[in-house]
Amino acid sequence: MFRGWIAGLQQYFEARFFRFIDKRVQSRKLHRLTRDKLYIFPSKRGLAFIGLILLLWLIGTNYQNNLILALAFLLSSIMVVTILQTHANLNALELEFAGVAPVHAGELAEFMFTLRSTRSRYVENIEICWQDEDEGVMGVDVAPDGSTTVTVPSSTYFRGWHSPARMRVQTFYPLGILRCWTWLNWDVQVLVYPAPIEMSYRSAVVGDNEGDGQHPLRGGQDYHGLRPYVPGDGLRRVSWKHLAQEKGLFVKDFSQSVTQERWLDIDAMPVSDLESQLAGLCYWALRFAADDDYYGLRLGHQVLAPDKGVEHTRRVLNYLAVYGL
Amino acid sequence: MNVPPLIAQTTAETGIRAGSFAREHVSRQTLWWMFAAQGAAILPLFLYLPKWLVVYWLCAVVIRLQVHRGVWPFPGSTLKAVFGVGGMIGLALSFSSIGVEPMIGLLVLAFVLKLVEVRTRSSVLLVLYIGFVTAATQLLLAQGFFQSVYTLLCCALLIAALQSLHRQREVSFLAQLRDAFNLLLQSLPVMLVLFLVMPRLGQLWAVPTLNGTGTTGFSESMSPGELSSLVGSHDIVFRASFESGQIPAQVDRYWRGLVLDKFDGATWSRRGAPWQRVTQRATKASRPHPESEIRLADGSGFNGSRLAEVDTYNYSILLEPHQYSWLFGLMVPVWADASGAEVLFSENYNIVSKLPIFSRVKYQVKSLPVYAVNPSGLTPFEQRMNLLLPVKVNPRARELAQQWRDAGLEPETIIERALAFYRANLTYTLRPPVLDDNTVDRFLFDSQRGFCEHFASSFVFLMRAAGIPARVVVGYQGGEYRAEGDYLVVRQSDAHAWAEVWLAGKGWRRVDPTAAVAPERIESSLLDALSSDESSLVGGALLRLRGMAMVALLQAKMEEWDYLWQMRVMGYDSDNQTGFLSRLLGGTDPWRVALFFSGTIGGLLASYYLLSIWVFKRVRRAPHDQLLVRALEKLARNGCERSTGETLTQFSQRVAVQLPSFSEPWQKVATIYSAIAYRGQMVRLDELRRAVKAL
Repeated sequence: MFRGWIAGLQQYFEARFFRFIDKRVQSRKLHRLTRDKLYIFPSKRGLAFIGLILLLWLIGTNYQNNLILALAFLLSSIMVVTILQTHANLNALELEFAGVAPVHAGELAEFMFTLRSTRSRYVENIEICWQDEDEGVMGVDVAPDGSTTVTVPSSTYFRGWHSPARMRVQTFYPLGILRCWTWLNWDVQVLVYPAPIEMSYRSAVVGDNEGDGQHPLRGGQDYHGLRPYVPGDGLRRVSWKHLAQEKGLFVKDFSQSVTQERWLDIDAMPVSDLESQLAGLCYWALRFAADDDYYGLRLGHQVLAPDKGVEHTRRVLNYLAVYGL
Repeated sequence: MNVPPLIAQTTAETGIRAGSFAREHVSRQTLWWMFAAQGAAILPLFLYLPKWLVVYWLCAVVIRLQVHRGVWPFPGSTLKAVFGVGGMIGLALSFSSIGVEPMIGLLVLAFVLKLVEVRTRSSVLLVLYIGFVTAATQLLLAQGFFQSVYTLLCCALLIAALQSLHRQREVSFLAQLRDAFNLLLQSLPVMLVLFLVMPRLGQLWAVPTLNGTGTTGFSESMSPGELSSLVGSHDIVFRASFESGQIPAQVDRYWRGLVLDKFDGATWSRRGAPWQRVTQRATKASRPHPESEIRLADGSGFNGSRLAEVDTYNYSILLEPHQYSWLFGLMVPVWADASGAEVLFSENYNIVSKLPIFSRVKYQVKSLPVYAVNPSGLTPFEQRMNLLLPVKVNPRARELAQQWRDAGLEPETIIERALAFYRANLTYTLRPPVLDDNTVDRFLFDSQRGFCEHFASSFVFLMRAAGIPARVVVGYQGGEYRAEGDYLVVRQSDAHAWAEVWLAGKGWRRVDPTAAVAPERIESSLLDALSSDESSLVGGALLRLRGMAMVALLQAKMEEWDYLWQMRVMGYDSDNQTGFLSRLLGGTDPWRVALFFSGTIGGLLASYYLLSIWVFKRVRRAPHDQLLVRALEKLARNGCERSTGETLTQFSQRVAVQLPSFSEPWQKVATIYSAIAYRGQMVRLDELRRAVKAL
């Protein structure tokens, strides 16, 4: 009962706090962390540190030992200086939204942000994550006057436009005894495609290539090219060879290509509810795209003429993502 | 999860849980810092703890290193339990009693055992926090200046380890140390303010005392040879600083320590049973002991109420810990006080502390230079106590005293006779022959060579035999004057014993038979009283050699510095604070102190704030532009300057002609710069940085 009461109180204050934050921090595509957005308070370890100071003060007082008292004062003083340093670590940092790629429902949407620092010192160990996404905490350093791109993953559950919650940017550096943090609202969103579900499907125009080239979308075998590494990329796709030759850090892209042409119709799906139908369509769209086929889409009144290529697939998936919302 | 260093700066790792550490993994570097910090923190403690703990610690370090290298697995719980229980048994065997040292031993043991199982960041944190407590423990055991500097270094290492724990990138050893010192130095001003203005409280509750170090100085009894063994020690016993130019003359510097009035034929000791404390029946030192009777030079009685009216020696004494309860002072002390101890007066005009002195203590005393104590008479009990002699010992000495008594001489005359006898027959030496039984007789009539304890002991025996109440007093005589700090240094080699006799109407009087035999011992120093072949037995002999003059000077300087440190820093108590603050602020009203405190700290913060505004407000060039400017400057120094309005491409062509050796690296810089500036490839900043460096 007591615990429930405390939790209720906590929730009430949290809700008030976030209302206050939302009023102060507008949704934008670029945030500069300034004094009025940053909050600072001792962390749990900081409270332990204060306990340590008190313990030393007690020893010093009881043994009438000025030097131990001086040590307690030194630690208190260190705490004061740490407040300034922790705050300075986040202060004047700029975060800019750098893009996000559409994902399928259930995948992690990887929002990319560029962190820019104008300090003459390193910005150390900034932890960034979306609210309630504690699995996806990112630690980032930014070089003096440098910039870093960081990927902050956000879980998605449903198709459609997905906007992540608030972002928490925090730091414990230098001593971990203080936590300086801020909550940012972002004017960013990502299009979430339906999750592909494999199902049989009666197409009016079935080619002769059934059962051929049924590869999952990702990780084909044809080497497609290299692109620069972005923090958050899988290490398995890093081109170690290029790194070893000191040419830089690149990531291998793969793709597949086969030729076919189809029509995708929502009414041809073997299930009745809309979400499952869209999931099935999504699966087949990806199949066709992987086979590099011409295919068209019919969603009730919306019709997309047959075409092929990455651009076309994107358009098809967009339709599927927002249909009926 | 060991990612090779990618682009040096841009690493991002996913974490486990927010709120706790983003990563539980401890880097190798952090581990090394932790070892260094822990080692530094417990190293000085090993001097006070059983030696096997060192072995324990080394074992723990080896195990930890082997685990880290992957040679051994993490020790299982059985091994850890064996280790822990073994350590506890070891501690129980090493320490017989419960006190501070066993506690410190326990702390170090836990500290060492924790090292074996450190795996996560939270446990590293625990180790480092214990490290701060251990650093404080160092200061509990030793309070010198160098110890303080060392502890400050320990703090720097602990902070460096803490920083390294909360850091993601790997930095060089020196950079890490620099950051830690940076933080430490920035903290010193605020610390200083806190140190000066924070009020000091008295002890909140009694704490176990330190008792590991041995006692120094003389003990509660005096048997022949005891004091002469102290002469070889050059250690400082205490320092006394007097108020404005009233330092007593050398011959008056008798620092009373203990009164010994029980003689068993060989040894003089305190009266009462051994378990009775020196502090028995002692009263608070804010006024003289109620049973004492003090008369001023004009014959009027003195009871402490007229303290302000009379001339007194006002001095403060900084006493090194000697593990005993007695304190030293000039006769006759009428007021004493200390902030770190409870000072009492015992009934025989001694100053004692309620608790044994385990750490340096500073106390103030006021003594009457001219006095008469108990002139109107002794109680029958006192009278008897101070005439008591063991029967059947030293018949010849008794006979001599009896002769004087039978001649009907006055006590004063008897004393004169005795001193004349001493002057005529006895020699002062550091190497008296060993005497077995009837020591007084053998000394007075056979060997006739002795040290101050022989003189004092035999003299008191003679006096008692002659019916004059007398007692032995042990303490220190003399003290070396130090002009630099205007104080006296009293060393163990100044240990001395003399006699006090009671005369009707005059009370207790000091009589020093040594002065009769070797006046130079009292008037100048012990060294002058000895023959040259014996002077090497006195402490500090090495320093008196001509070639060691430099060393002696250095040692004097160190002692000087240590004394200043003690008086100014260690001895900074509420009184000094009050004095300092009233000098600084013109008063110690709370509002003044509060104003000073908030003013200084606020001032420091405000200056920081203004500085930060200035730093953050400065318009800065984009990083790639800065790098380009740096590159252009390099080229300009080599004789190829970019003119205004010239595009990078045109300029590159010019460089190719004028500075062909620079052409290729410059081309690289230009290409990457264009990619960043015009295609937004911020990721290539590092590349650009490298390219500019290569130019």
